[in-house]
Amino acid sequence: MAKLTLAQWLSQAENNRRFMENVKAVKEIPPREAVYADFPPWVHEGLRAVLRSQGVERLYSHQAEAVALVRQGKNVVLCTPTASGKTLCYNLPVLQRILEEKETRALYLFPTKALAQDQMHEVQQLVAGLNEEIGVFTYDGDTPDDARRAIRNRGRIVVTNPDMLHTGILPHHTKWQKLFTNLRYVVIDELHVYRGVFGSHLANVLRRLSRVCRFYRQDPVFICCSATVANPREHAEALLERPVSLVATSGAPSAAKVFFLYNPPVVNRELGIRQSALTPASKIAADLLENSIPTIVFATSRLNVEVLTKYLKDRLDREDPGQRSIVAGYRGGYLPELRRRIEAGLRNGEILGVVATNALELGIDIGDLEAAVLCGYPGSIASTWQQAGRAGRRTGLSLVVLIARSSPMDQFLMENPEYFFARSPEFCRINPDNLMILVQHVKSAAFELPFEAGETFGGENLEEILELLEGKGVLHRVGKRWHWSAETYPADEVSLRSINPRNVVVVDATKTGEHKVIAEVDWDSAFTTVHDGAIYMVESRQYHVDRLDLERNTAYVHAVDVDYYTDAMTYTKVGVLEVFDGRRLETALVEHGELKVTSKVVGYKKIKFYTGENLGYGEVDLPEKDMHTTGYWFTVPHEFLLDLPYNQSEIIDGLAAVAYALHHLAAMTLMADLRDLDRAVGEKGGEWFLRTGPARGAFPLTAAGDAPSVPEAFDPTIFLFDAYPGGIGFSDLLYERHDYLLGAAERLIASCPCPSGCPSCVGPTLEVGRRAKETALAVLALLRSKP
Amino acid sequence: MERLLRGLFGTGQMGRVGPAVPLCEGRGRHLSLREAVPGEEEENEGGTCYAVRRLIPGKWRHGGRLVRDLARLDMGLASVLAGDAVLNEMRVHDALFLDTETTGLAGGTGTVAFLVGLAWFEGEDLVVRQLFARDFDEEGAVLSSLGAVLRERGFIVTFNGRAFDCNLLQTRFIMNRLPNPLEGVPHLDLLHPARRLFSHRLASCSLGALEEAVLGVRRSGDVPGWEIPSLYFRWLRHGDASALSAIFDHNRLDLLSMAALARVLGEVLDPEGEGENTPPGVMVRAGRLLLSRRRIDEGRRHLERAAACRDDEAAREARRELSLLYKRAGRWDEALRVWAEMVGEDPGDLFALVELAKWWEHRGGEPARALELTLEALKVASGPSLDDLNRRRGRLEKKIRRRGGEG
Repeated sequence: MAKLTLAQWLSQAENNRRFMENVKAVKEIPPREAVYADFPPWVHEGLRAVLRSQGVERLYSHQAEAVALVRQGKNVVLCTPTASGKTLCYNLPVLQRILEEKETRALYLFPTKALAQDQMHEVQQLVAGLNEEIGVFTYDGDTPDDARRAIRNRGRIVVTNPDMLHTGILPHHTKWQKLFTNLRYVVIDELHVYRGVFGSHLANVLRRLSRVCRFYRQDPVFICCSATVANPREHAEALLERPVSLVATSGAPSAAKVFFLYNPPVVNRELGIRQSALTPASKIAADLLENSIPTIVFATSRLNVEVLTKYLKDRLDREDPGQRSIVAGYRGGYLPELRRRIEAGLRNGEILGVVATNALELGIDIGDLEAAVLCGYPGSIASTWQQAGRAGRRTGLSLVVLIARSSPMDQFLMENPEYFFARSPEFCRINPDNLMILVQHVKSAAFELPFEAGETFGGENLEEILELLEGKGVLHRVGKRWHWSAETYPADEVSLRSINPRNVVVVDATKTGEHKVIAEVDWDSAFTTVHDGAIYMVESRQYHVDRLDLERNTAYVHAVDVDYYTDAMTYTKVGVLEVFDGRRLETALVEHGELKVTSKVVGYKKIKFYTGENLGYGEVDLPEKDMHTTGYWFTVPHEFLLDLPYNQSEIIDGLAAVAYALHHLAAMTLMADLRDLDRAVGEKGGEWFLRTGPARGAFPLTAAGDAPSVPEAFDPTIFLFDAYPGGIGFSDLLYERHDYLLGAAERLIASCPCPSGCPSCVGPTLEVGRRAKETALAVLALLRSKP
Repeated sequence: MERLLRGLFGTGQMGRVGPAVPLCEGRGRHLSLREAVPGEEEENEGGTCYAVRRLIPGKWRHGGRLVRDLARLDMGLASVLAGDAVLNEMRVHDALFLDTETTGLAGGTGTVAFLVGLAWFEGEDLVVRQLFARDFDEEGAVLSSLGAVLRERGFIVTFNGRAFDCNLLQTRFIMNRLPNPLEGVPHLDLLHPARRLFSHRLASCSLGALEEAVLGVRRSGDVPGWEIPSLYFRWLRHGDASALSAIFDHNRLDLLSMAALARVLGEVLDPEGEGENTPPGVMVRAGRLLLSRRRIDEGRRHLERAAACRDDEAAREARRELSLLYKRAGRWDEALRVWAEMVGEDPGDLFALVELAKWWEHRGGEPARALELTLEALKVASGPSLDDLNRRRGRLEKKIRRRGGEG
């Protein structure tokens, strides 16, 4: 059978009625013409020549705008699509300045080492044409010790990552005296990555950077680049805490793109269950790959990456044995050398298809891909466009297929495609004054330079924190200064990527005496992915977890070949610690404040490959985890609920259903990742909680410890809270939007075509009960009744 | 905020100040600094700090040596130890011994040198001056004072100062916006030559280990180095100086031992010195160090002495070095003699067999003899040297066949 080109494949697909039945929308994005601008007169002749030799005769309009602003000493954030030539917007002014003043230094920050390597090579190519000695180096954990001193003294452009700035550079700023006394530019690329916890950490690292720069009497210009987000300027200003100019109108041309929204068919109307998104994703991707069309498949979780990789390999093998090696999985947790090997394979064509998490969303060079299959809505519009941008950077035509899951967010988009295509992308939010994060950075900052009385560091009362740290004995005050006075190195105690720096290594103990580390899992996900009995997958190979040893931070596994995977079940209990603000409505008390959240993994489901059939449960005995965070909640006095024509357990189901819809809608309106928030239904005192999920019903409640004996008269509370210790600042936004959220939930549930509740509105009926949809609407009607 | 902070740190620790130790222990009395460590305030352009001066008289003994003897360090040999010819032009009285006590070993900008110990010779006595920051705000004065003392001297002597003390001080000068007076000052870091000479005999080359093994010094009641930061933090928090005198004593002993170590290392290098006590293994290393500094004659004398001693291992090493030295100098007769001696003593000495084979092949012009030696060598060789030997054997056999053909 002759292989099809992408254009042929598309026309075939468009004539395939069974396929098109599930396509909810086709959007053809036309190619866009370039808008050019001349080089500004000040650009060095040598630099022009190098750019011309690379085919850059003129600048795109946004590049000209950005470099002009930088030239004026303005901080800039650039927010234009993938492949619009953003890097030139910082490389040009930086190199220009170095050519004018030899001693000029610039610091480039990229979120990953791989991106830093890519960028270093790009700048080095420019420099090579200049015939000047301009040192461009990466500086990260992989930099050999004997090269470090030379980089510190001679590097004109130092390319690093926030983690290295945090642990390796700032606490040793005196060794970097040359850099800091000449630091004119700080470049932060992929700015949108720095949101939530990571962004809150980075904002604090930048506060520390600014303090150190002030010490060396420097005030560098910041040049930031971001994927399309709703609030690039606001986000940049929140991170940098200084005014920033926005450049958002792209002058770059773009190739034509065909975008399909694909909704898998309903397979069980009664339960509102659709075909799993994994099925069409693997079918479409396999079909593209069989036609040798380079394809990237994005999955929403690490687990799905593994499942999809296995499906794809199996499918390709059936068609043509030996073809399985043209597909690879790619996700966080793979060891670096494996990742580098996969990236290289994609570039040289040995690997034609890759199944990835958003780890590949960023600008790592993986060659020219023609098609992107998004298995599930990535959780944000920005991510969707970013992932879509991975296909067709240079080719004339590219294809994007977004395949919906059953979740309310995905289904909402399928029902409202125009909303998706017209909608502005998400907001990035950070909370740099999250106390847990702030205090850690105050310690590091004090290590770097003593704090002076009257100094500020973020929005919280600094003096109070300094006094607290003095009381803890890590700071010592003399005169008007607080000095670091401990033997430890505080930056080592903080990981920017998560609240908890602990990791668990996964050790393959299949062969005695030949133990091998196959992956790393961060502490928090270890509880749900490598608990005893779990099936852990790497490169679509299955491993059975024999033992999770929390004291040694190690999970021991052995290779197996089974027909199922596992999915952990947790319960969550919430208690209110402090109320920041509240208002009493007719039928509810709405509040936000501090919460103590206790969660525990109690067991897991075994789920059969392909059918998704539940093969049984296993129990897990892991310690509880406590977290202090911030949240928003509302409490319904029981006397109102008693008026409803349902019994108590039906009302509880209704509340769980409302919480389910609210959780998804809240993530959507906040434009946050679903996992950034969590939900619970319970009682404010934390005495009683409701377990949602499959454990409701067949699974014995006693596995959680004590079976909750629900009192006759209680006032139930629905909690939505930040899924990070200390909170990320979402809760007050939700508190303010309480009325809107309830209205949206009512509309979502009422307009859902399912008869009695489905994953797209109130959650699967198996989890919330058969009358949940009805009771949820009744509860919402009660809550929204105005006097 | 209070609650969140408490959540972060756990309850019950909020009000506690410092470590849970009684405020005064031992003698049970709060000592003032002047009582514990008599000294005086010093004022300079950097502010105020506390300075202690002690004179260690020349007639005192440290380990096996009199202090006045330590001042007899040969500067030529000191320049070999430092690898810096500039020291040749200096006097021992130009030496400034330097050792710091710090708030930690982690390095980085948050580690402070709270005590800078300095020592130099005046006549036959050793003068020790210790500059102490009673609190962090006195650091500037300590650094200024260090600069002033340094101006009177010509070079510094440290133990591991290149990696640690000078690095740290460099940071401290920058943090205090002061020019670093240590920059460009000649530096004899005793750790490196000590390692080269003694590491084969010692598990660790710490100053303590060298004191015991080389200087014959045994400290009693000395405060261990890792305890020093916490003792200083206790002084900062509670103002109890009783533990401080131990830190000053420790620092002074370090300085004294550095002076003694410099002298001993110099002695070991001295081919005219009372070398009878120097173990042959150390002698070989002294020879090598001298050779690497281009002091060929002195190096050769060490090797010759070691080659003649009864310690087989050291003698073999010495002969090897020596033969190579002769070879490089074109003194073939002497080189051949040494190789022959080596094979005479041990017919399986691979090194000597190979060298002899090379000589007979390229210089002696007797490939058959060279082949014989190569075959001998092949009996004892292993690893990568086997490949080399087999290549040589092939080449020699070819040569011999060719000659046979000609004849």
